[in-house]
Amino acid sequence: MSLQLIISGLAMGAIYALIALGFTLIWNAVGIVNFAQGELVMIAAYVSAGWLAMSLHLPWVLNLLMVMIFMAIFGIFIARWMYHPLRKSSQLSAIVATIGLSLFLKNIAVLIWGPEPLIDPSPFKAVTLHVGRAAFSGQYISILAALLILMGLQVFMFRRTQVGRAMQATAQDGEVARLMGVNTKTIISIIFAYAFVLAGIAGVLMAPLFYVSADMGSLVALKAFAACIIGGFGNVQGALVGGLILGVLEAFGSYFISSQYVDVISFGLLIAFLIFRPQGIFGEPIMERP
Amino acid sequence: MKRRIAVVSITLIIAYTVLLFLAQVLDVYYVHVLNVALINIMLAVGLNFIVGFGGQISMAQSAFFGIGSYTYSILVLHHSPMLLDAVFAVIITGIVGLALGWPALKLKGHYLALATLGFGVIMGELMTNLEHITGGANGLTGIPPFSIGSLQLNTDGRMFVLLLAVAFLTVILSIIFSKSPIGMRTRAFRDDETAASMVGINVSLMKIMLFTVSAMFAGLAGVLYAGLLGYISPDVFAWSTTFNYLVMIVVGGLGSTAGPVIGALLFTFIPEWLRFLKDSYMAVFGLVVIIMIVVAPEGLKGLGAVVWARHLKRLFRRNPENLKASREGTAYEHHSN
Repeated sequence: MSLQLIISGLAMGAIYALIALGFTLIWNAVGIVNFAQGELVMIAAYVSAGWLAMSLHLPWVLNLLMVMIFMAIFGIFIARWMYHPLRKSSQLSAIVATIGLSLFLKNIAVLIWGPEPLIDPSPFKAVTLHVGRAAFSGQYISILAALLILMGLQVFMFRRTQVGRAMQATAQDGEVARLMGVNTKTIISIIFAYAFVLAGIAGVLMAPLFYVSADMGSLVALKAFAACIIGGFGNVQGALVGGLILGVLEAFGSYFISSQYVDVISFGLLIAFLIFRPQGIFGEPIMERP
Repeated sequence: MKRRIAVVSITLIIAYTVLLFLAQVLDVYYVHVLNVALINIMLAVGLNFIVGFGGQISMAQSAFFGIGSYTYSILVLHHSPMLLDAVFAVIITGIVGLALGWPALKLKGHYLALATLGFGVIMGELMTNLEHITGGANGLTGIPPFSIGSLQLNTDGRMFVLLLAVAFLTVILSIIFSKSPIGMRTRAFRDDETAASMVGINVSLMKIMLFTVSAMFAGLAGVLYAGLLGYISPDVFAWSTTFNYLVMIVVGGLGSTAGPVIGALLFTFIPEWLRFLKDSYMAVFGLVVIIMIVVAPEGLKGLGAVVWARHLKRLFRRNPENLKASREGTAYEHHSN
């Protein structure tokens, strides 16, 4: 039983981690907290379930690829037309702009796909793995596999490629990166694209677990946000570990304590962290951004 | 100064009479929307205390709104005296604000935003799940209308008079606060916390006070909301609704009293004006919010200021001598190190 809980918790945690990673990259690069991240997950799930899987009947891998391309274009568009004009205004203005975006995406989704939730057909749902007495849904395994592959690719990209190094430099200190000849404007667009793609992948992986609905993303994104704080805000490993910890904790909490109060548990933990260890697990002492 | 106060008060009185007149001629639905707008004004002006004057991002406004509303409704449904319940509900909300203000002392920016948002999520869960107290997802019904003596405020028109009076009081309090010495001090610590504490301003006390005041206004709005509608349910106070109030004050413009009022009115009426778009009106509204922020990041009331600033810059262009002096200054500092 506990093994099953751990696996399902890790799978949900992996979803949080993917979204948290997108948050962290955008935060590091431009100092904006993106409150529309959850709606990106939702839009991706709708594009995947509503258009690609149900109307076009694309195979799963192609479906994922199409969603990734769509999200990347969307990310570049937002970076150019929403972030760029606001780069010099206050943090709060930028936050409210992302709130406006989330409002827009939620309602546009209802407009396009209707108020009825969709069910995502996934090839992994039918597969069940048996290990001893425990049984795992193939969906969970596919999520964990996707996270591992993605992290491998990301480490490779950040360490070995020019673009990845430029992204890291921009994320660490945009101003210095610009002076060193990095074209930060382009790189910021690429970072947005990558963060949006991560949210998109999370959406495609999450869609089969829940009904696809306009509200599916908001609370999940908030938990990804909490995962960032628990791990250490602005820290890539922190986002990953924080997400996984939160997922497992929720799985156990809802099984042993109460499924009704599972959010109270997660956000109670978040507030405890904020009060007693605001720098998170991988904490470096908090420094104020200038 | 005295003339300004006179001008402001005359404008307010004229606006008040115009609105009262409007309430007589408009149809019932519009009066209801106006009532909702007035409640939103209280919430926005209240939130502006901590966000606009204090520069701290709070996302707990919907939670405070809910706490005030639920406290009042639960008490009233147990047949205790109405006015006492209302006062009690506002005080309770203030105490919760005070309690939340304490951890907020250590947090800044997005950390504070997330802590207050987390508090909002927890409150929403409690409202939904503590069924024997809050009525669960269905909420509470049968809340009696307010009554003054034997007069029952059971219509939107009658409630409008009360809400207008309270909203005006809120606005006037906010204006007085922003002009008072204590308001000046809050502005000082918003602009530079370190400098403010150097000159002896008690920043911690200020922050906690602003949180408490914000919460009390939201609690009062909650009480009035319960009396206006006669029923409350947790989805009205859901954590996601807290964004509405932030949007109001940022779109209107932070740090003044006019900003949140403009924002609350726009936020309530724009969706109504967009109703002709049928199903797509909320999506268009989201788009309108984005465009407003991109066009006027400092709020609509700042649009005029932007134009002015450009003119002023042209007037006060630095002359070469000033530039030279400042360069020498930096060079001098360099040597002394």
